[in-house]
Amino acid sequence: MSPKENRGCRIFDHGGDAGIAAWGPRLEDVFELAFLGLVDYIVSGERVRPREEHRIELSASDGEDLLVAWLGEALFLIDGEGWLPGRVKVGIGDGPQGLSLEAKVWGEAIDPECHWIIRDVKAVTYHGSRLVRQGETWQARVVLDL
Amino acid sequence: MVWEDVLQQLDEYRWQIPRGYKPGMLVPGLIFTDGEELAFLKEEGQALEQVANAACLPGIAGYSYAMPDIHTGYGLPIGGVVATKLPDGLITPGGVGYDINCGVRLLATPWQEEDLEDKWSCLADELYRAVPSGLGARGGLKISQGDLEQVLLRGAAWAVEQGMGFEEDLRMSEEEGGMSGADPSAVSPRAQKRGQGQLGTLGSGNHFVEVQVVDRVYREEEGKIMGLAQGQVVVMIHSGSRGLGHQVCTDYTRRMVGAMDRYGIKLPDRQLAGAPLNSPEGRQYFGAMAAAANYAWANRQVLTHRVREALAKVMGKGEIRVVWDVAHNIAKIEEHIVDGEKMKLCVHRKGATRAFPPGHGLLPDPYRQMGQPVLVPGDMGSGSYVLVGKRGEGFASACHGAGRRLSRGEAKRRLQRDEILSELAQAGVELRASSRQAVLEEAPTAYKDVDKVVRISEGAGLTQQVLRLAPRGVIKG
Repeated sequence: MSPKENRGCRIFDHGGDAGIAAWGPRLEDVFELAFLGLVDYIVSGERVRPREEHRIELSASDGEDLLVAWLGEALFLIDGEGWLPGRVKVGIGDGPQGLSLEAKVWGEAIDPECHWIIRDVKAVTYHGSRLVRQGETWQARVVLDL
Repeated sequence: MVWEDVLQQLDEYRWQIPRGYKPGMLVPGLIFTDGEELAFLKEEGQALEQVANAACLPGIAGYSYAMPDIHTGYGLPIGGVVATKLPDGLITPGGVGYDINCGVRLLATPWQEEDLEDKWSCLADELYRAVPSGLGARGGLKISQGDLEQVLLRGAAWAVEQGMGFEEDLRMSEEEGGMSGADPSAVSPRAQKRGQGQLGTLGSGNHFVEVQVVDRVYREEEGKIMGLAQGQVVVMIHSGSRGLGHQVCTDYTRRMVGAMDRYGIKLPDRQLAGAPLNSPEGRQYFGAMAAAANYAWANRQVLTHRVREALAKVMGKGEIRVVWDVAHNIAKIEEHIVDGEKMKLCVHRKGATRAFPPGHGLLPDPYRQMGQPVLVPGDMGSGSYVLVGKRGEGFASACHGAGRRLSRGEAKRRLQRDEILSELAQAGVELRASSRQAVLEEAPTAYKDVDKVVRISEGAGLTQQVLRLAPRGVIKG
């Protein structure tokens, strides 16, 4: 984490593959930053227009499980729906299993003329996943299978 | 951890991680490697830790094995082989990997190197046109829901029935290109949606179609049995189950993570999450995994058809024969002898190839006496190998490739695209890649030395070298 910024996201090397780390003052921030960071890692091109809205609801027993499931939603939107997220708003609270997440995602269908998928991320793994609060900052980390 | 004090050398190519290394290990770890590679593994540390973690799987038999191309993965290392006892040993999606039945198929052509002379470039262009590669689903077959169900149930046989291949293609494939026990209803609508538009596409990353030339023959007799000889042109296809397989692994890993407490299972890495084979979760995962494996076999069959069409356009008529097709990310129910006792096991191979020894009853006729062909792709600049299974150790397994030396990020930072292209051109390799990224990340220097991996495999008695194949035309996803 850069000491100058209290929120951000970066890609790191892991074995032959890569991982994504995000940090921010609120739990919701790291979920939003990691989600958009993952989308940026996969797709390049022009700005995404918020033409449509997707709603996502998830529940999980703990933060890491919720984070892995949440980032998996980004992969499915891109590869399964051919849809590109551009903006996201996350709310996290207590749920029946432990934690629940409600999100709104704005974006548009992938247009091959202006959005280029530059990387195939097969999956978000549980291996080494971490979600912790250190002082005033939440930190998240997951490893990707490329 | 100082691995120096932990690892026990058994002989020149075998190192053991004793059971006492960490709490929860039920069997020792056994790594097939040599001193030089081991030094690298000790320094890196994570892959060895993953071998030890896998030794904690409930119901594990024998050893937690690592093949000579071992490197860091998630849950199991790449190159990991573990077998769990039926009926209630653990089945873990993390022990198979996300690209279920990622595998390799080798096709023999009737042509010699000199027949192609000035046609290499033209052939590379034609293959690049014929084989949809890269990211996204464009170029895939449009199939109905009913067809997808048949693909999931029957694998390559579905494609052959549609006119995309021959009965003989099926015979020359592990499981005859279709695994029994597939359950399409266990494959989620999400996974099916991802699979519907991607059949017949190569994918990206390390997936490829390569036109190669047999440039070294180590065992003429075995080469002859496979119908391969010096100078012959062959085609290698490396691809898997695309988004469908990734989603199956994603869905079931999450489900297993949720179910572990219920079964009282505790493991050192959540990515190894699993359930007893005879539990509802275990049975459903096996059914979904087999269905995804069948999708991958159908995919390689459709790709074979597209390669045949491209070759016919450039070279004219000629029989293109399937030599063999191997799965290197899969779990299978097999019989093996452990501690003198014959038992039924669920063998997980993640980045490892089955390598049945000579005489094994599950091998088709031409290969039964010789042992199972093992196809080991190297990097796009150096070469690939055809081996045969020898001793049957490690639940009859062997290496699956060279293994990465540089992470994708490091390759991108350190390597120059123009240099890679010029080196490949000098080596006589025609490369067609869908992106700049693919060139950098898949550069020859990003990979370990495949020659060495194969030498270790032979030294350890897992396989014998038959042929070396040099790349000449490479289509990268």
